[in-house]
Amino acid sequence: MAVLECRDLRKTFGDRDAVSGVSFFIDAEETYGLLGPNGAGKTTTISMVCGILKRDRGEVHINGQPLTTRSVDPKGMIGFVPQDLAIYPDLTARENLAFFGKLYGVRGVPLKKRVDEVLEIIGLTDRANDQTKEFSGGMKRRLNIGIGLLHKPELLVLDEPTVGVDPQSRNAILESVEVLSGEGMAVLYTTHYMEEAERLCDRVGIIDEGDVKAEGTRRDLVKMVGTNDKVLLEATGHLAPAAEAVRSVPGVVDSSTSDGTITVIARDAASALSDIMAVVATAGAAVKNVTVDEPDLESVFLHLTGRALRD
Amino acid sequence: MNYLTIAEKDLRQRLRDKSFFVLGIVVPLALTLILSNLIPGDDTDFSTTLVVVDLDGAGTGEQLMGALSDSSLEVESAETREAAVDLINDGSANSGIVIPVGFSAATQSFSPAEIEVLGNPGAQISTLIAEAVASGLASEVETVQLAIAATGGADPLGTVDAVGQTPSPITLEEVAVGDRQLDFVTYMSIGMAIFFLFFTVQFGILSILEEQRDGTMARLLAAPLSPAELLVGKSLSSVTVGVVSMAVLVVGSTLVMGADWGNPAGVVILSLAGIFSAMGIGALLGTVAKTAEQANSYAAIVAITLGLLGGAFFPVAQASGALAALSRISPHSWLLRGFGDNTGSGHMRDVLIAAGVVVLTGLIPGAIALSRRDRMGVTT
Repeated sequence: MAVLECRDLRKTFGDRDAVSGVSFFIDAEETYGLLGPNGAGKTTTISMVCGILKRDRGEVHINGQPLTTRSVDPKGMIGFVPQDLAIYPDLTARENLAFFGKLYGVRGVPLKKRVDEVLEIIGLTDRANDQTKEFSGGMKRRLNIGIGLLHKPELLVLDEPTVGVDPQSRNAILESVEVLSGEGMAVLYTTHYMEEAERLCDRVGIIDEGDVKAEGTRRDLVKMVGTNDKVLLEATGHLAPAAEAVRSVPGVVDSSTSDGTITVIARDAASALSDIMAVVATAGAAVKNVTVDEPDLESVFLHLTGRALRD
Repeated sequence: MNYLTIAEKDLRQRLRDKSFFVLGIVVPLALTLILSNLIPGDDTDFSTTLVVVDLDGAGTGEQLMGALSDSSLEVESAETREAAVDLINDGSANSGIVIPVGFSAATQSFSPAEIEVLGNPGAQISTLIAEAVASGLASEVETVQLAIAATGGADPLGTVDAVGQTPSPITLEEVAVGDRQLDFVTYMSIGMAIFFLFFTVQFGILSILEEQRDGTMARLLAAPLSPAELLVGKSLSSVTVGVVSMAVLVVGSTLVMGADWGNPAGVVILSLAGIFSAMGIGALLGTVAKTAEQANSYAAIVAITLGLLGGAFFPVAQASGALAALSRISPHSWLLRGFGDNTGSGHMRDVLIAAGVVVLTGLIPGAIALSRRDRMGVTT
């Protein structure tokens, strides 16, 4: 049974369809990414999944239990990490964790023990008793995630947790999510960063204009735009003979020249690159710069929507 | 039990940001103390000494002194006008009356006669009292003259006696203060307490909007608790803040300033009614405002307006018709009336009526707010 199953979620604000028929599921121990640009409908979808926002149509089931805004038990199985910071600045990190832990039914000694564990996970043990208004942005972000973990949810929902975070904290957050998904938690992760989706997610749903355009593993999605890599060689000298010679390299599908660049299409650029470079040099061309374009989720998004993720 | 967790968290926040101590306890107590010392109340002792100079020596002065001895005035006599002036100048007396030589003879012969009033520019009230006494004496003489004239001059002495035995048509009596009147310190204590009660309680209920502003509302709505638990938790913290604030102010003003709050049961009933009213009005403001900052501004404006209108600072109920009538929409007005009944010889029935009206002033806006609760982010 899927931990989360959404069917035909729809939400309209005024005359704008924010979400129009989103369906997906997440199995236990699976990390599912919703990848899409700002305004694609990711947060609206998550708000309906967590029972924060009343949906116009559709169904949400958590471990088979239907979830609405009034549900209590299904909500207890979800750990929610909102995009914006959702912590009390005048409470300490420990008090913030304990408060939300109590709301999820964790009390007494288990609560104290779990708070200590989470403080350790998010690296705030030494600042546990400081009011969070004294924290840096990265520390607040980590606490924001820690609150979602406290009751050991079966489904962890993270809504763009790395937005506005410095690179160091961002990496720490991504590592934390990797650890959590490795511990058997199902994770729903929304982002508009292609690299994060590729790094963290077992399956990805490409969402745009309130609709999931395609979903699957990275491999499945990349297949939609082809599997070949593109190698661009900026070079001087005898470019045409070099391009002709490169075609004899195993794994190279095609090659061409234009504007001082040799373009090589290869099945696996990484394994063929050294042979390509040797052949080009032998043919009398001097390479100044090499660029390898592998098909990625950005390409997939471009292919599906005609727009770049950050447009 | 989640409502207890929410209430506990809210109270911890209120205690930590000091607003509860400042608005709920320190400011009302300090203002009561300052205002009750700054403005003399009706319990301030007032005394004045009137010096009488009887140059006439024909009994009028004696009669006057005898009449005044029954009043609350202190009366002294002086031999000469100069002696009376000296007494006034050195502060031994505040004002004086000089009955001139031949005063009695002049009045009996229907000739003009004058009474001189000695005053002190620094004691205007005492001077006014002396003028009033002199006017009273002149009226009495005039009455006798009219009576003699009416009898055609026959048996003038008998007529004077008859007039003297006739009860004065108007008498002044020192009467007990009415039932709904509060002494000044108690009035200010109650006024300040209920005025700031609305601030502390309303700010508590409006913390729902602060949860929205700080992003924590989304987390609360995602948590396994019902909207009712959230509202009950928020309300519970507001009630607790209100009860603690009122309790400290009642005890503090009683012990420190000698305020008389009356029957403890009435104090509890009226305080709870006031808290309920503040919560209902605060909740309605929360559904009208778009942001926490806007809501807090509205709450302050409404609390000040209702406080002034209801007489938290001065007794508006005794003002002219329109303002007095308008003051009846203010819960503060009914609370003051209820506390007045509670401290005087009013019945518990009167206290309950006032409390009931106060509850209504919270129930109506509260019901409207409940029907618009989605505007505060509490979706169902």
